[in-house]
Amino acid sequence: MRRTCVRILIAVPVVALLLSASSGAAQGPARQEYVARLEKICRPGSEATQRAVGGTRADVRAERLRLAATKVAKAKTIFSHTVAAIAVVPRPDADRTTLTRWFTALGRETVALERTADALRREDIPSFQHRWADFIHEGNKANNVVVSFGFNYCDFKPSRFV
Amino acid sequence: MAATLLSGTALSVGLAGAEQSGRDGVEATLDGSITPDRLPRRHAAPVFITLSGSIQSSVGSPPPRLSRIELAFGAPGGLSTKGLPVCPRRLLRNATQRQALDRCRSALIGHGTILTEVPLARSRPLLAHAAVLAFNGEARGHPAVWVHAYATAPPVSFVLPFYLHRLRAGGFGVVMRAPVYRALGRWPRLRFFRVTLGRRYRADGVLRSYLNARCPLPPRFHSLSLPLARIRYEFAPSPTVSIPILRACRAVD
Repeated sequence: MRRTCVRILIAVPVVALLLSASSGAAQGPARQEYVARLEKICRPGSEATQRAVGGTRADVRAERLRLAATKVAKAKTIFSHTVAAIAVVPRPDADRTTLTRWFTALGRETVALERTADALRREDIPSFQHRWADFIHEGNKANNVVVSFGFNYCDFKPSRFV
Repeated sequence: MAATLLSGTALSVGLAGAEQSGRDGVEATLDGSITPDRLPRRHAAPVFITLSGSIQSSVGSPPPRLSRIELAFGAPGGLSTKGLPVCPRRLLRNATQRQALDRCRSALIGHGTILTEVPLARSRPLLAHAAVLAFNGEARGHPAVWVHAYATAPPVSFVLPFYLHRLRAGGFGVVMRAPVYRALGRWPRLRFFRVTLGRRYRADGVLRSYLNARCPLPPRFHSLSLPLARIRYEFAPSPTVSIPILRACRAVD
């Protein structure tokens, strides 16, 4: 009985989200409304990322690379979940092309973060240096696509990772 | 027309490789680099830092008034003003670039360019591309930087005071704050800047450097992207736009 209740509780918001996504697809929200909605989704992920990667810089400096890998991998999981959650939000009609480019850039950022964690796990320092630079670069590129949207929590902020 | 073309070039240069951030219809950028780009791991070496930034509107109207600008960079202990001559700010007021240099050459610590806008008519704002000199100053016993801007057409001469604070904690060693609105008034409005700071000088027979940095990477690392600088543009009444930038730190043994 209790398990059923939990399932229903999980299912209701998911169905509501899918319904809102399909109903909004025809018209699309205004940009301001869209930004507000995404910021609400990104905020907990952004705060959780900061908590997850706390001390990573010191770990890298002390060459505790496997420990750093665990933290970066956790950040990647949070990041992927956030991207998946914001991807289903109906997009403003006028911004569809820009947002498609943004989501493509976010996909590349996710891959770069995964490769960074992988390089740390393998304790492959040259690869880590390269992947980390890629991750920063991809993050900046993603930001530049949506600079006019004025995101805060959905923006890539390298300071959250170092 | 020439001024507009010039400003267009400056802005596009400013935006090309820079980090961008936007909020409430304002788009701002920050770019930066450090020279030399390879630094020792253990001891600090003399460096020059170049920073550039731009402000523009994403909604067509002129950007809101900039009330304060804050620039953080360097590492703790990276700033040295010991024995460096100080230029009194009053000597720079209403001075041409030549007069400023004649009066304060020994305190020169940087140079660059600045683009300001006077939006008298919305369709054709007056743009002033001014040469900038930065001088070592002092305010209430603390180090300061007087940024002197001068242009002939249209005639522009102003001093933007940056008050420096040494930081003991956090990722940066120095923070520079300028009360832009209090210093410049309603006009002109900052659109773009590029400034290089740094100076080698001799004091008490010792060769010193205004800015010093090292690349404190672990032994097996040779290069890593680390925070170089952070800018905060505070507009009145809002928004505040903050942009941190990371750049490759390359270590030499």
